[in-house]
Amino acid sequence: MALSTIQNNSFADTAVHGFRNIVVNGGLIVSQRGDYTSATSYSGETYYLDRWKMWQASVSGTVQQTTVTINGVTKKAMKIVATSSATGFIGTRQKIELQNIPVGVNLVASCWVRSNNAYTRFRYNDFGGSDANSPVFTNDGNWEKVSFSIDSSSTTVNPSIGLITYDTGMVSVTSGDYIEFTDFQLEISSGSPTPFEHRPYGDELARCQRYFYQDSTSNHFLRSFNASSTGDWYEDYPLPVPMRATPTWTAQLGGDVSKVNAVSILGRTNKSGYVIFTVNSTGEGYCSLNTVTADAEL
Amino acid sequence: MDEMNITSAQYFVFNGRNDGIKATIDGVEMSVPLDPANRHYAEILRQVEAGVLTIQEA
Repeated sequence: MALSTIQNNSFADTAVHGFRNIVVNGGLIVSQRGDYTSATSYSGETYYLDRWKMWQASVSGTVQQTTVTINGVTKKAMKIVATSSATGFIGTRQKIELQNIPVGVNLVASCWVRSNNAYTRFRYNDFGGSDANSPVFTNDGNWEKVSFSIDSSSTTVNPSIGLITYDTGMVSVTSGDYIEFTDFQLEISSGSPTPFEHRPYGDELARCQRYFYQDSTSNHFLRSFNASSTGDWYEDYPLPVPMRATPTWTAQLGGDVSKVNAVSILGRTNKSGYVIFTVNSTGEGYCSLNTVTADAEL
Repeated sequence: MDEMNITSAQYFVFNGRNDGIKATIDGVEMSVPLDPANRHYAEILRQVEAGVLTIQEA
């Protein structure tokens, strides 16, 4: 582009710049923990699609990564469906690191949403030291773009923002009630939300891996050895991106191993863990791993 | 409610020092670091403080 075609308003604070969505995986495209394209029964306070934590009380239900078309554009979404009826709530939220919040500015949350529960709305916790609801959405089952203004002043702990069927307390939730949403964005703005910031999958995956990493490879070859005695052996396991904190690890011994009967991973840093595998017979052997996870979620 | 179901917790020793905790959380065996910023370790500490969990020595 010729410099003469770059206008001053391209640099103005009112211009739409990149790196403005504070929420990670707002487009619901990353799902490291598993394939949730079929409806999956949820547990409370559990992560399914990356960074989105279930928010529910007293209501059983399912979570699903769906594919939807809004205004002719096909995109991923997340759908939560109640499969029991009770006074409670269903929803999901994302906890955000305080260091990613420019405390003192006004923020705007926005997303596309459709729901059939009259109480579906935004709700935040711990912005400005308090919790609050947005007004309820239309909730007639049709897609609508919604937004909610948030004052970040006096925020001192990791806050959260999400969608929930809630009022001043729990509400009536009927089996079949649902919330489906996509293009969730939280940005600095004192006015209307800007269009959703689409990010490449690789970029979004790396952002997610700051909080959770999973390698689902079967029989991931770790190393070979020639043991002169039985006992524990150690191997470094680097992480693809530095994590938010030292993670909790899980690992399973692969099926394709020789002279190894136990494995685990521990970590001292947010950049790698060390694999401990137990050699039960001397001589040449090898070790492999099945699913490995590292969890540094908030 | 953010409580995890922790059914066992035992220190893991490496080079003569406690290096982590082997814990069963929500039915899954996990290796939890001694990092207060880690949510599992923070919950273990909370449940120990509440008197509902004891961390076994290695």
